[in-house]
Amino acid sequence: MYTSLFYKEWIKARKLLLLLLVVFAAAVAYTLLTTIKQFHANPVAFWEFIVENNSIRTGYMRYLPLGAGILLAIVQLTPEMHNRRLKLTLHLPLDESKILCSMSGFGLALLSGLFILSGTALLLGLRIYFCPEIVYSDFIASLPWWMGGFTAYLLTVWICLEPVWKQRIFNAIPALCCISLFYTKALPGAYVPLLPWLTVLMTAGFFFPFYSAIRFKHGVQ
Amino acid sequence: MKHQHIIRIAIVLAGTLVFMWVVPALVKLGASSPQRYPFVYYSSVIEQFCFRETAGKTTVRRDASGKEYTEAQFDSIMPMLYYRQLSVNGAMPDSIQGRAVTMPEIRQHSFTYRYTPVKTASPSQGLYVMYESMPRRLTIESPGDVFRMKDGIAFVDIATNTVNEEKSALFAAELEKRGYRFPAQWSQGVISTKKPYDEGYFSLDAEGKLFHIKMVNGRPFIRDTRASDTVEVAYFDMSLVADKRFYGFLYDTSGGMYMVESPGYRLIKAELPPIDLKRDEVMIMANMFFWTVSVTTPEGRHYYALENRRLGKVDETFIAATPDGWSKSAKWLFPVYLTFENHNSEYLKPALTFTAWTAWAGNLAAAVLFVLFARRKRKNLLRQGGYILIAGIAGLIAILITPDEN
Repeated sequence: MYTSLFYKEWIKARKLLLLLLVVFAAAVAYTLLTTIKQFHANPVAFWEFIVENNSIRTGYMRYLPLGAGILLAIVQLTPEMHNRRLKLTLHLPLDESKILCSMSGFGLALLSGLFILSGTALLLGLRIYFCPEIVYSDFIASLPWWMGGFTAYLLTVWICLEPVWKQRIFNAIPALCCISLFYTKALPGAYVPLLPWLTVLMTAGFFFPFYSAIRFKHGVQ
Repeated sequence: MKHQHIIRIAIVLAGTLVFMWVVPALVKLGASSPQRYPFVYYSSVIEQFCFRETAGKTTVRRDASGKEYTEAQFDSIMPMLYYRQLSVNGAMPDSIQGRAVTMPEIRQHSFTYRYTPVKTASPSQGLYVMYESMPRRLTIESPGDVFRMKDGIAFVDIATNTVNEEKSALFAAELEKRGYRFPAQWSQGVISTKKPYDEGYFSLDAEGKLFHIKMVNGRPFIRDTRASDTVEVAYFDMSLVADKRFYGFLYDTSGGMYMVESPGYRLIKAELPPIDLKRDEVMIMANMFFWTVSVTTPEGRHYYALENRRLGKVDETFIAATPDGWSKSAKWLFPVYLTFENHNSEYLKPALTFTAWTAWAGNLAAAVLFVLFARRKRKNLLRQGGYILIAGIAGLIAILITPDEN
């Protein structure tokens, strides 16, 4: 049963996944090439600028995880909500919670793969030219953006599963506020005290779609 | 599907926290206004604080006794500030307080210094640049490496991205010889080639001893400042001044502020009340006779005049902060609100701020209105009303936008 469920999700998401892979690879390549070019122009001045200004090189990636999370949730959930097809899925001989968990889990796994792959490639590329402190600074500055991608995915699933349009707008208001928390302009490392709270928010977001699904199942219109 | 009730509670709680942050932030954006203080400077001629305040197109210049001055008169009583204008007008006095003054001398002994709490609450990469403190030419040149200083000292060569073992060992040996104990607590210096001269770094070791570390002729120069013999060091702020009279300002853990004299590292305590490094802003405008020190606290701005040699207090005044629209409205609207950003810190962290008990009246009004208007549409009316009484406007919005259970 799970294999069939995952296969269904794969069919819905595969084209988007290919597109996201291309976009993320392009962004990683562009970031690395720009950095390499700046490095070779004047290595000493470039390093000193980084140390003096506590600047980062991963800025081009900032909103990509957010876009990926939102798009993946829409691609997975729109066909389900069209003509209320989700009803068929929820009638499968499997606990509804497990069905929802596998749908969200599939999306989170895809995003994890994409984020880990591109993040690792980027940081390893930067490590060739910079010492661990500078690479760590890039990592810690971009960590909230990756977490924002997961949260955006879960909250978009929550909004998409909601059967009533007016309620979708009401759900979108706190969701937008929550997501904006992950994208505040701050120095690298400034998010460190907030990261445990963002993790709690991200974890709580996993359970929100269940409430929309319950309302859907009860036929709220 | 199980746990519908628990998930709804989680959504309402999350929504409440979100609106406890967003709604006050929007009100603050519209209602708050920056504190406006007049420009204050201690006159070395009349030996009083002088104030310049601009309201619209009118500028009022007065001294502490209330006597008003024209622009030209104001220039003449503050020659340490307006010496260039006075010199152009041919009105610059030859001597002040019985001491002959020249423009180069005034420039040499004048400086400004600013401390903001952000300086001690800002993330750092932990990398520094060790410039040559006695360069062959006047300009400061980049050394081609950076160094880390935490569990040890290591210089990283920029071109190869590898540790320069020889230079690292040279500095590590000298640090050990001088009694520096790792891990370092912090290191403070000015990272820029645009500075007038280099004095390296001041670093607090694991035992709370403050060391001066710099590079002279390619060799390490490391000295124990012995500051920890008399004070418990909290922070050091390097300040590069034209006359090289001091290295910077040292703050101790009880809020005392000291000038660290150059050379010799003698500490001269400024006669100021304790400074809260996490909250207070300090601004110094110094000249060869007096220092005008302003200490901005949430209650208002304190001004102190210190004599230049011993930093003893000669005068003080205080201007209270005026409450803005935000502080007036918050104490009626929000008993508690949530913030993530703080102008005293670069870090983002959640903080709950309590305003006043009067704001519970607003909560009561919100709860009563909810019960009256939603009594036919909502389940568990009293329980939700009680929640609004506690959580206020944020709780009301969260409950209104979260649908009831089926």
